[in-house]
Amino acid sequence: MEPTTELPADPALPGIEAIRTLGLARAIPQLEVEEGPVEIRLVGYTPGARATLEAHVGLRHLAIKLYAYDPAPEAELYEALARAGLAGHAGPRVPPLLARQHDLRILVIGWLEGPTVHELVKVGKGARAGQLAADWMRCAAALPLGLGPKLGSARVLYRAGEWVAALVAADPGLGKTAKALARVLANTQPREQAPRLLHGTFYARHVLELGDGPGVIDWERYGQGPCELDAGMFLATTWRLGLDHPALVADAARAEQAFLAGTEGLLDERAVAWHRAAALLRLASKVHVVERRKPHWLTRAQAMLGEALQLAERAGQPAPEPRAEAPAAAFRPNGAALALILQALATRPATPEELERIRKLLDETRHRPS
Amino acid sequence: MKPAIDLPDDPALPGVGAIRALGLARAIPALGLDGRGIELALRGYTPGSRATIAACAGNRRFVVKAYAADPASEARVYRALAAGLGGDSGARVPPLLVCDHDFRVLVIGWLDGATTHELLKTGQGERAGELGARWLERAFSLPVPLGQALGAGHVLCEAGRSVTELVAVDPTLRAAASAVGEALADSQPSDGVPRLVHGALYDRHVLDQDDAVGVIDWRHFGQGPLELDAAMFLATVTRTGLLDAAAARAARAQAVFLAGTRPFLDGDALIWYRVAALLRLARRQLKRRKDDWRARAQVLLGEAARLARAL
Repeated sequence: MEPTTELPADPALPGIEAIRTLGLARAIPQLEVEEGPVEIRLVGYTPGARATLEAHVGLRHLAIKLYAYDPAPEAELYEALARAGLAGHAGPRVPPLLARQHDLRILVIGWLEGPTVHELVKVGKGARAGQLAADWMRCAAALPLGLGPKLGSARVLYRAGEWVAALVAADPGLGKTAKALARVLANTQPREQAPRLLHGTFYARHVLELGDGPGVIDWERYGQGPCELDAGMFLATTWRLGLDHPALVADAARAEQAFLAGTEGLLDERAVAWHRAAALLRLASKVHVVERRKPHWLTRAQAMLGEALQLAERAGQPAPEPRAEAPAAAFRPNGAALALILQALATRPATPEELERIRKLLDETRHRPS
Repeated sequence: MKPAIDLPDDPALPGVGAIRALGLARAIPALGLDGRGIELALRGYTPGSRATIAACAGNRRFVVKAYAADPASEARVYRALAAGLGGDSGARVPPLLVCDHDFRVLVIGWLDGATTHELLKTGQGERAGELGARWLERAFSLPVPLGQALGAGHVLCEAGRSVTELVAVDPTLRAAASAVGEALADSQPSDGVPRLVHGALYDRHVLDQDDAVGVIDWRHFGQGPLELDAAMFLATVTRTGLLDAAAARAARAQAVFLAGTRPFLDGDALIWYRVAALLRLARRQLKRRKDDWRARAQVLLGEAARLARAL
């Protein structure tokens, strides 16, 4: 959407109503907004569900997220990621949680500054875009966080039914292809490894270039599942960039190559193809929102489904080699807790102090709701 | 049988067009009919897709199935079933009489007998359950490796479609339908050894032939877990019980069916497939849109939700 300073009237979002009527300072007193200039822009909005505001409050640059539902699980994730050392000022990171207003269903998080990898591809930096996404994948794969709902291939197949229904309603031809694709996906459903923390909508525009590492935003749909799910969505959205802008095909391909090189040994190739096909089905199904259709929506959706069919069939081909576990080198030391554990386990016995801290961290992880 | 009625004029169904233009005897000479005293009755019709015509010629009765798509695979399964069942007098499927590729027509023999749906309605629930179980027991040992895969993944996809279509027509069903769908997505069973499955084993498709069980309408056959067929049979029995005020008879049918199939079905997987089948039957209420379809869909979703608590 185009950013706007107009805030919509949406009774489903109590936060937006409060900000409209009371102003930011009184709606979210935790922010301790002093008198002075406050700039607010609406940068994302799904009527009846959620809205995102970009706010400049003095020197602070914030994202204010307003929901129709309780965002407590998302807040817990930000807190857990921060405890793991991922809300700092260097290396791979996520926005810091700054405030939460439970009664108004509001989260306030820091604004990460930097271009998205979507934008990097557009300016000819495809390889850097792919590397950043790969860096995040390796970091996430090493995180021992058991938060969030299950997001495996079973859930994807269930959602695939929704996407097929949307495409059937949009156009009979698309519906027919989508049904065929869903059948292939059901026939080639991958076996899954141990679940890991997933972003859930790992689009190219949700990964940022922060100079010294990737930043990852918009964690509303996080959960537990195979890392190929996030990889598939990243590759699908990157490929779509080339579809929408033929001049970007080469850089989109470079992003893909860099991503695959950067995640070598971490991902099951056929599972990536499967999740990428499913992601393309999901992206194609967005044509059901008539007012958001692009000029050539029909051929665009057909192209996505065609690509998805090829990928899904590739996913069903015989397995080449057993999957390798992520090497220890995949770990990034910005997760202070993990660094401590690995250091202790690697070369020498842990000191009593280290053991106590490890025990606390493990207990914390074990007792967290999933 | 009712007298012949006008057949639809549907260019997608060349078989129906040929019968309209030439009559059944000339359109399908392999039947060896002389053209006299033939009565036709349209029993089912999906525009652009298929038509089912009951035919009576003297003392011969058969079913003409006309398709838009090539029915060769369905013909193969009838042949394979005939061979697989062999001389088994305890289980039958209709014999394939003709497969006409040009007109995309199958002609199969007519199986007499009350459906288990009718048995339920006339107070013979135990017999209905016994027949269903007898078929499943026979299917457990049938060596027919034909048809596309029909496992839990396919069922999950269908569940997603069902929820979306129900909610699109009536958003008030969202909470109930989504809860059922998500419960399925969170508890997908692993598929065991694939076997021949009917794919739509409704209580209307299982017949009482006194000395045997008959199973008709094999259009949706495939390879999958037997729990898929067992669940659909049970779900349609449940539907008949709930919607036709036959709860006690349906309960007896279910008890007999479950006792007869317990040795070879996975109980947990069966519950999962039953939940999915009830969701699918709720969606089918959209097709006919009877006046009370919402209430019927809600009843079926409620039963699915009740069963889903055991997942």
